[in-house]
Amino acid sequence: MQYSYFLMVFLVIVGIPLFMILISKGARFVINRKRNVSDSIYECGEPSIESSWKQIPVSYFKIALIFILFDIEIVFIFPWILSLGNSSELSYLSFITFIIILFIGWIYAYKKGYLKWEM
Amino acid sequence: MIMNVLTFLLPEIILVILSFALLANSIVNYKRKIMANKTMILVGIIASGFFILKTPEGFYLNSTFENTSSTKIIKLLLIFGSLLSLSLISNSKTDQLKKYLDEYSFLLIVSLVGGMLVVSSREFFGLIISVELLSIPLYLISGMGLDPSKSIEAATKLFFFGTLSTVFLIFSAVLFYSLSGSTYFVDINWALDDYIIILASIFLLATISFKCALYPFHFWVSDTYEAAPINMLPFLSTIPKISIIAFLLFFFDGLVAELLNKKIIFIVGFLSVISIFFGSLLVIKQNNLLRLLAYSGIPHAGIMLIGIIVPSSISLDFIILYFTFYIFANVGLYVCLNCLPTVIENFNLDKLNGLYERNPFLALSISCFLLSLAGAPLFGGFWGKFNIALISYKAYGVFLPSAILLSVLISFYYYLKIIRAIFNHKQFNQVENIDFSMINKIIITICVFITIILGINPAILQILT
Amino acid sequence: MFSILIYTALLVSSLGIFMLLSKKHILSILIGIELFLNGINLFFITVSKSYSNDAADIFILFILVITACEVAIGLAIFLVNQRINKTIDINDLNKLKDF
Repeated sequence: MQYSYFLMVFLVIVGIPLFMILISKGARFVINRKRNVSDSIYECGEPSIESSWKQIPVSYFKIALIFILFDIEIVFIFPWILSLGNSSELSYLSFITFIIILFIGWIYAYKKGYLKWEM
Repeated sequence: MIMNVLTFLLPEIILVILSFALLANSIVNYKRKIMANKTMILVGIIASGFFILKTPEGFYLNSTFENTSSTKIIKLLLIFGSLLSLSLISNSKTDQLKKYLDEYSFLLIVSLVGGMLVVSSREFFGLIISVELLSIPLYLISGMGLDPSKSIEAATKLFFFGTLSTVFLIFSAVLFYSLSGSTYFVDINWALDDYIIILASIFLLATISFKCALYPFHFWVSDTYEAAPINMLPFLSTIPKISIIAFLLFFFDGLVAELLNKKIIFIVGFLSVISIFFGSLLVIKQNNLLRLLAYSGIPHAGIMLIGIIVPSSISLDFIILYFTFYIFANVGLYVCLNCLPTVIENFNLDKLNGLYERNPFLALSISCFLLSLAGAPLFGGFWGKFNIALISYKAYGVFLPSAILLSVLISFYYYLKIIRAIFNHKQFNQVENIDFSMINKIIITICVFITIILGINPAILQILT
Repeated sequence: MFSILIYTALLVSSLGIFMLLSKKHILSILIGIELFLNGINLFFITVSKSYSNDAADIFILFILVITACEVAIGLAIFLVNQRINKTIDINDLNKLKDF
């Protein structure tokens, strides 16, 4: 393990500031900039009237979140398929259980109306 | 093979099925929905507790999962404590809680499953997944409080701290792996003798301090307790803390004494002493009742850590005694507070003024729980703290018991401050319309009974084991 | 070869830590945590290959899935936070204080 001393030094360098930050909740490395014109939405010199946070329909966010959760399922399916040749009944059973759990989640989202596209 | 899996993992599987049944209950509409929720929780949890007694002992799943008699007792404690807190939830009066009753119960039961798996896991990646299962529902729960702007802020803070602590846990697992070439706890004994092992254990202990709110990593605890719904506090204050500390107990149990003595014991002792000392100092200044109780959990976790670093053949009974008294005193205390009218803004100590005149039973049981937590004789807390002080004196000399004694002295100050407010009859405050239903009475009576029984005869736990 | 990979992993994780500590935007902090975690993943894979061991291949997937779940829940919390508190700056989260 040649890298161990380097690792030690690195982690001490990283760890002490982290500890200090956590100790003193308020302190941060960043300098508090004043909010000037260049931070405004369009940067055109004209003071903006409203914030850029308009009411975006929440369906976008909900569907995106649900998509993340169901998309990550492929990560488990892929190695299972690769090892399909020498799999036992336990492997099938546990994978079916996994799919059933996901399916219950999908039914929940569907019944609660999170997949409905309403503006 | 399938039957084999079912025998040793049956309690957890029953709880998972129960949680999905609750989820299914939440999407259908019928008349007796709340009744069905209560019945399912009662039957499922009692069945799971019954099958814990029946599970065979030994190593399972390529020895990543272990059942011993002591894990069984701790799991039973966890299940009983969360049964009490769940029956509190299903009895809730608030509209918001009533609307999302099934979701709340679902989240708490998933968290309980995570806690039970944490106690049994003997391998790092099982541990990581169980810790996530334990803590992710708590992020959501803390965001569901009565004052939305405060509670979502608390949830954001808890989410960041919790995620960071999980990253630390993964980092420590990878560092241990880089030394031993294996992800099992036992193989740390054959790891290369390197200073990295100290580093890895520091990261592991940082995670544990985050999850149990030990001193340098305690910031989330007061915010979360203030903002989370009071119904959740019996669960939030006991189950994660107990299960993580029990995991640490079994983790140290597997390591050889030489490795422990040389490197890790010192760090744990240091952590526990500073959390006892500074945690006690933090509590003194508080006037908000919930923040006071939140911070008062820090010295308790420190004392539990002291019990852990003593060799486990001696300390196991006493730590289980401490867990038992801590669970029942905390659950009873928060159930009592839940009977008071809901206070959204500021739960100051003077809101309790004149409680004794209004409702003597509630006042007396609150003082019973507080005295037990403080460690007064004749209550369970005395024997818990006394035994841990005694065994730590036998193992490591006079320093650790004196820290415990100091914390007991300070804790008498701040717990008696609450009791003084309760018995103060000069000014009455809003203690009208106390919600004192049947199920709350039953829970409080059970908790008072167990606290006093443990105080009179602590050996009763050993009869059970 | 392995040492280069290990230095890269440490660099990535230290960048993540720096981002975690220096940024004020909620999403940047989340990205910092992710970067830290991905540095750890790279470190894990490298160590596992230097032992010629297969443990990392499957555990990385678990770590990724855990991360994805955390991100989903974190984004949901941030969304509600933005709708209620109207802020994405962690310095503005100061309603809960000791005194």
